[in-house]
Amino acid sequence: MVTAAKKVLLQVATRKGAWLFHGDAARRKWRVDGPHFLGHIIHHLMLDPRDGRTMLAAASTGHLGPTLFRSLDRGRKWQEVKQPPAFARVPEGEQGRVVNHSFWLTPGHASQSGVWYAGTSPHGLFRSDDGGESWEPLSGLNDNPQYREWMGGPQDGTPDGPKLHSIIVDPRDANHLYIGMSSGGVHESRDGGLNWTPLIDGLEVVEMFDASKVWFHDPHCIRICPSDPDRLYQQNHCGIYRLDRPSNCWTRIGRKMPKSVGDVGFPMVVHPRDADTAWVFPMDGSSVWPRVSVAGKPAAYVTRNGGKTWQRQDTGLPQAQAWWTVKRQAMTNDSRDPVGLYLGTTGGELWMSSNEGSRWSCIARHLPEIYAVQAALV
Amino acid sequence: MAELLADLDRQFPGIRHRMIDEQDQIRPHMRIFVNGEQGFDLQQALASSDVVQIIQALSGG
Repeated sequence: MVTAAKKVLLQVATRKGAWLFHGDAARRKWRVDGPHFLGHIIHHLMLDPRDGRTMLAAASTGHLGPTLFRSLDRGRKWQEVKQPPAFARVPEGEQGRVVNHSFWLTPGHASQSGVWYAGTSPHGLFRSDDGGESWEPLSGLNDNPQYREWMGGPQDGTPDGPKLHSIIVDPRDANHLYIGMSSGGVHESRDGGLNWTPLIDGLEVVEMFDASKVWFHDPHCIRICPSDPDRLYQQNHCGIYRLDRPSNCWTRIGRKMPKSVGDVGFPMVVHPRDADTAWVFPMDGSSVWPRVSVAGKPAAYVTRNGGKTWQRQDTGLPQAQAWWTVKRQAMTNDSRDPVGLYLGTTGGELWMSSNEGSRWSCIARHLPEIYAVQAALV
Repeated sequence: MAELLADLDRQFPGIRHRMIDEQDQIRPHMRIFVNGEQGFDLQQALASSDVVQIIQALSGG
């Protein structure tokens, strides 16, 4: 459905707080609202598309434990939730796990108002049935001995902790879920999260390691195509992939990226109405993995044929000496026509394209390190 | 001590979870002093005249 009349609300989560950017009808002028929660680490900020007003913020600080804040008026007023995600308490003498922070927020299925999912660091999956006020661990994953082995320990995750992310709800089936774990692979549930199955066939791992071992797999960002939910795209630590269900085998479509650029990166963005179109923002994965824009020249790459070919999109972006890092939650799209693309850098710059990547412009500079950018139509 | 923290949480809902984790351990960067002595035992007995200080140690940039 094309919703050209609606305005875009950008939700920007940073290491030092959250900002909201309200776009005008043409997506040319942006009114800034913030900071919210100045000094809090905001990992993700998400408006509920089902009611258009409930917004959740995943927060922590350097010294206080993690929490979530909730707004019922689209970010004007906030309250801390009653019971944020926390692992089950274990009997005395046993080693229990502790949520360091909530990392990923996903609203539930359109038919299940009030249902939300949260992914945490260390790996944990949580569900709320009351609009984010209270959360329960999904023990079918969190306490499954096989999964605990695949999740690894503190030594196995990303530098600021292993993360459960990319919680995807199939728009056709509320019980059909996907998740990604960095590290720990891609997984699928068909019963609402009670039971899970790895979905790693075709995915590569770092050279010399065994791809049949689930714990070596590091999906960075997985997206489902709204126009064809049987198609998923993934930016992985080791390449860009596409999966067409019912197949269980991913295809490395990043092999078609220019060799000089490679197919390493963090975010993945899919077109809301065309399942053949997707975007990535490549990072330098050579030598010691700088994970900055290749050669200091930031660029998005788009495919319009499911990954058979890719085109560079850098008009308007800096042409040299721009060593950007764009994290997995920090690139997104709106659903207007043409599609708007948005990205935030770890250097605190917010950029957008109102024409599907053909030309880019800067919305804001000098923000703190940007962790996540979400776009909503309001 | 556990009762004191529970009472604090009644007055300020959610504050305990931000100081004490779900396994009942004091979180990193949180310190509790009783009459100037650092303590880590939530079962520690308190007298009505004891002075309890809960300190957040800020660090990092």
